[in-house]
Amino acid sequence: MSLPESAPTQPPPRWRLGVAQVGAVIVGLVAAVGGIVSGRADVVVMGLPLLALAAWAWDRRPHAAAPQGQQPAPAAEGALLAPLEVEVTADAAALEATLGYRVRMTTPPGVEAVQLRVLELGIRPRTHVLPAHPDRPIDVRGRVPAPHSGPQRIVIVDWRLIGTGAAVVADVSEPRPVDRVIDPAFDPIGALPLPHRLTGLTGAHDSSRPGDGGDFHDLAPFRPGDRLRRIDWKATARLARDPGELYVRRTQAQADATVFLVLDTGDDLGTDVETWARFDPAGSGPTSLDIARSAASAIAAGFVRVGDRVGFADLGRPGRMVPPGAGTRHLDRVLRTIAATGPVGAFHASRRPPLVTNGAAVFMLSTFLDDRAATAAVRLAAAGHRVIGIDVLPSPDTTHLSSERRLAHRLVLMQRASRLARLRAGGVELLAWGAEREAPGRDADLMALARPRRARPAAAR
Amino acid sequence: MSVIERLRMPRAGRPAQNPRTALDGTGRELPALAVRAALGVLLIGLALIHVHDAFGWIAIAAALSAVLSPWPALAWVAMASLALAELAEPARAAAWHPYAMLAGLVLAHTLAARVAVTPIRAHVAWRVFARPLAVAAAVAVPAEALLALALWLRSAPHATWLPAVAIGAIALLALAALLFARLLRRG
Repeated sequence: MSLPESAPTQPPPRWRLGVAQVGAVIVGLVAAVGGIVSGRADVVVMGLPLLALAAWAWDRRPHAAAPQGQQPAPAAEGALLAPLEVEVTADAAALEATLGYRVRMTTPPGVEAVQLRVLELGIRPRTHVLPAHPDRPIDVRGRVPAPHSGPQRIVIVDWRLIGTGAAVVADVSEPRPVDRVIDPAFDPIGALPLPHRLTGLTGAHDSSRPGDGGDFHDLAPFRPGDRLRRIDWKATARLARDPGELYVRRTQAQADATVFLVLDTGDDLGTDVETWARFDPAGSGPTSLDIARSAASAIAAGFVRVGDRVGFADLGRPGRMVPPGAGTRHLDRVLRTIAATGPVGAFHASRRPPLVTNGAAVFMLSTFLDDRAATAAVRLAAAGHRVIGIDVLPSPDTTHLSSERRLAHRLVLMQRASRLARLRAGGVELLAWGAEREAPGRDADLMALARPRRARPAAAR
Repeated sequence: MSVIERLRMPRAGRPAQNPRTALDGTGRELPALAVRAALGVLLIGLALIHVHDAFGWIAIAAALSAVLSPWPALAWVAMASLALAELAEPARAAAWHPYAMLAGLVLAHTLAARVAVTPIRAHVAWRVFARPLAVAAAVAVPAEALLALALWLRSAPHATWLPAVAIGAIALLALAALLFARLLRRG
């Protein structure tokens, strides 16, 4: 399956006189004049083929599209040409971690070849010079590895038309990018760390207040309003001191949780630390945003599955927010928003924490390599929210680093370690989320975080 | 910019290694570098015919510059030098080099025209050369016959320079007439 990327008809290209045409005419004239001046017809004949080739190429240069019944006008510089049709498509979904693309191009008469430049994943170009014919469209296909989730630039295509005999050459076209959003792979989490305070009168979680729930809360004297079926006759027989004194068995009320996912999109750092300073989607390995998208999707799906409300906020783009909601349709919206989240740059990330519903648990997904996400997390914790910092920095590979960079990397990690310690001191619980889809250690840490507060051990990390 | 700041930079649009995958539908290709090298070999080979005079050395220098520098237009300087180098040679109908020179110039122009518009790292489909080479052959064959006639007239004992110049002028006029007739027909 493929999707059309743009309107097929291109604006007419601008043509320029090629150096071959000028060179052929000059060489031909030099030989002819030299031969005539020196009385050497053989030298004159040496120049004739080049003049003939120049004349032939000029005669067959691309021409402007003409109305029906009229002769087409020659394409002078900047003149209109017959429309060039270009179609660039890419597959809608990844197949075996690759995405296919197709470039189909119909050229006007008078075009001898097309110089097609393809930048796969938006990096180093590959250029192909292909023969052109008005009746045989150029049709090439390729496959691009899709190593990351999120918004990806699959391919950028531009081209240049070469007229017959290279007498005229068109300007390079506007680049045509093809973008796709690739969904992250995830498994919904099973152990759900809940907020300090549950809200609502129904839900899947036992709240701390008594009500119509499942788990036992306590035994209490019967009061008007209690249901008769809640009278615990055994407890009444054991505990009642006066005739008519009844005891009821109270259960914990059910409530739902509100969870807010806050994604720090300030940076997108790969496993290979060497690629942190440059754009290398092919060699970077799993990046922090890949992990963050998977983690956010897993958390959102885990909570929505049991009926809780999930909201989403992008720390890098304060306006990009999904308010809390529940249900499958809302989950789809949240997952689509997460999948479409891309890096904005460390210097654009917002320091101000997003507006979070009262009593919500906040999952702050960040590399914590700068103070922005850490400050926001501490502020949210200080406001009374349960804040769980999800550390999405991938395990670093420093084998390709120079000694200076290795030292710089160590300094950055030392700063980060002290920042994480400040986070713990500020009441933020931490959980490391690696690139692996299934991690027993992570599941154990999640279960520890999901336990009631009195039974919870120290933070996972 | 310090190393630490560079490490903190997000994706910065720097070039990087590209995972090479095959592009289907291009047909058989050859590197543009090979076409450029072939042009250089051809021009230098032609220049070696006239290595004993200045035009030959100019042609060698221009050919090397055209191939090794980013100015492939210098190939036509080499071609002009090679055409003029024929002036230093006596006109003999039995000599092989004028015919080789003419065919070589046509082929060199055909290659240089494509080299001039092709990036050095590009890949060129073989089929790109099919039609230009056919046209070049169609132009070169009658030109070789005309060259043989011109050389025979020039090398004959009774020949003067006037009939030779007349042949060249007539050929030029015929070419110009054909061109103008075609252009006039196009309107």
